[in-house]
Amino acid sequence: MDIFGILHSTIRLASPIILISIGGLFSLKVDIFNLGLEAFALMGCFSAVAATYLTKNLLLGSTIGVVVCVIYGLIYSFFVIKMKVNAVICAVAFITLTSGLTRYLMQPIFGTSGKFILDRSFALKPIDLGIFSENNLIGLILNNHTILVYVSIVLPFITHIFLNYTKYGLYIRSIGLNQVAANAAGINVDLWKYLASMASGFFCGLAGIQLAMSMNLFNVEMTAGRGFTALAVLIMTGAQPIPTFFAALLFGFADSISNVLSSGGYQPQFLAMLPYGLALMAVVLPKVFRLIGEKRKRKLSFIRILNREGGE
Amino acid sequence: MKKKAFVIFVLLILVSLVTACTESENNTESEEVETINKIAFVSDQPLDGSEWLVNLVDGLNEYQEEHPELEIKMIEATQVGEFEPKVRSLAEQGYQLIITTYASMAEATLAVAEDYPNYYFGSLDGTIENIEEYENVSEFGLNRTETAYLGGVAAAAMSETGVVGIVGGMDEPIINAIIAGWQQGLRRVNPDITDYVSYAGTWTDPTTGKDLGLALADKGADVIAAAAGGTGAGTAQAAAERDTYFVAWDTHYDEIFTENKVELGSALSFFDKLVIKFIESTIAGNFEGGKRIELGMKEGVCSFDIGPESPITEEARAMVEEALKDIEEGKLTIDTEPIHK
Repeated sequence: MDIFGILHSTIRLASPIILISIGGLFSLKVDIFNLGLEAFALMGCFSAVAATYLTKNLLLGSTIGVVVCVIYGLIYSFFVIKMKVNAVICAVAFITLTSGLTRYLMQPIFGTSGKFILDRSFALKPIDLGIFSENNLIGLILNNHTILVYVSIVLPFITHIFLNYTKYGLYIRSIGLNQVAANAAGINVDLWKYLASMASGFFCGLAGIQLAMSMNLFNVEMTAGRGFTALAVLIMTGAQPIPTFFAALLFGFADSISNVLSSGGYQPQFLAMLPYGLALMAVVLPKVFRLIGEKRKRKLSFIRILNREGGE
Repeated sequence: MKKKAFVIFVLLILVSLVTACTESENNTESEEVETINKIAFVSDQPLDGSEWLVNLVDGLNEYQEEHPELEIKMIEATQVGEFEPKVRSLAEQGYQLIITTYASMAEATLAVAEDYPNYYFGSLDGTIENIEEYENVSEFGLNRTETAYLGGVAAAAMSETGVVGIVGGMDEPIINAIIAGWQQGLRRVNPDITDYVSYAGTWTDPTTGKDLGLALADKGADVIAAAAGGTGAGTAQAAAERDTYFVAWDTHYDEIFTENKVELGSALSFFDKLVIKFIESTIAGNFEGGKRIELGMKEGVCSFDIGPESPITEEARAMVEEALKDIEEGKLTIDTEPIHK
């Protein structure tokens, strides 16, 4: 088993999940439980492919794709903030809407249905960074990725710095922690909620570009549940950027391992369970250890009390 | 106000109960069918889900335009709960020939067929066990093992490392039949070949398809194949990236292989021709109820198509033609169980 190949594809598979998670993180930090990240990512995939097809230019097409996603985020936040729709219900509506809309629009825009493949010249190609040579161990893992994968690697750290060390990060965090206090402190709560939602649209759009344009094709339901995986990651880590990064890497690793093992003759149903089993263990095991640790501590302190009383 | 709403609610329930009861009484009478001019096709997947289904829909639309006296309706029924109601409502609206797809719809088809003995029902690969009891139900299917066999022959003939891999959609009988044909075709040319089988578990995720293709290429495969619908497009991308040969299913990936032409060929299935053949034979009065008909390459409903820019060598092409001749002359029996998974 080629361990470097596995680690290389771990990063490649984890990067859309990282991007979607960071998008969802901004939304969760302002107390909007955005279940519909899947919809934003799918819209990102579709609009990036459609815009690249119509403008015949990768950069312009990707930019338009991201802008469409930001507008999508704005519409979602409009319904949740202004119209006071329940965020989860609105998200479910968006997911259904996006699935149907992208399928429906394929025929008028592309002239085919189900799948559309762009010319390979528009693909988001992997970059060979000079500083990582092929022989270097780290180079084997980190070299030959597309630009958005590199963005997704540094993004959680930039987000951490933004949220914890800047003024605007403080605004966003305070809205999530205590909205009334934030309002009293003079922060324009609605404005920042809109901006956070637009930011989540932005990052989901980037994830959509990575998913679709690295393959230069669009397929219906291309996101394949990655939005929900990202949400699981966020809930698992409590919406902290750095743990989110590692949890997403864990999911990417599980996906990669199950892909490599799938040709080994194992039951495909068990391999499909693998990512979710690993995630469940990652959440449950620390708590189990902590519980055992506390029980031992309690037992030890009880024994200490007994000894003290006995000694006197 | 609340009391009024409650009364209206109860009235609505009563009305719907009454209409439901009266409906089921009128069901069992259907007129004798003289000419068939209303045909319906019910799919259990979204109509734009897989390549073969898209081609089928296009083919039926063309057929409809050529034959304006027929009315062909194509609907999708994706939830198990709506299979029987939809098929039943089609029969009630007077569709004399109703074609359903796959085993999940078989029960619904048989239930409605019992109530409408004068209408014709076709089941595409329904695997109905007691079909002999139903005179107005005919099962038909497309033999995909033969084209898979030819694909295997081409792949083994072109493989230099002796390692090949295939990405299947899901672990289910139809894909396993394809894999069985593929594996036997491989072993006809190279009995010691090492072949890997990966199941993607999804029909619509090209990213997984690409990763599986790359994993197969990392294991040393220099020919990879994909019989997995949309996921297969990702595997084609992997083949283009790693410069391995590729055997496609149901479509040619010309748009992906623009720089390096590595597609050896594609096992095409003309589901539209299959369904049209079935429709025409039923209209002509040759409906064979109570049994399963299987059509294959001989009847022209599927073929292993080698594209004009295929890198296949003359030697390999000759092997494929020889295998094709053996199949047509009936010299080969191809098993439908995979040798290994």
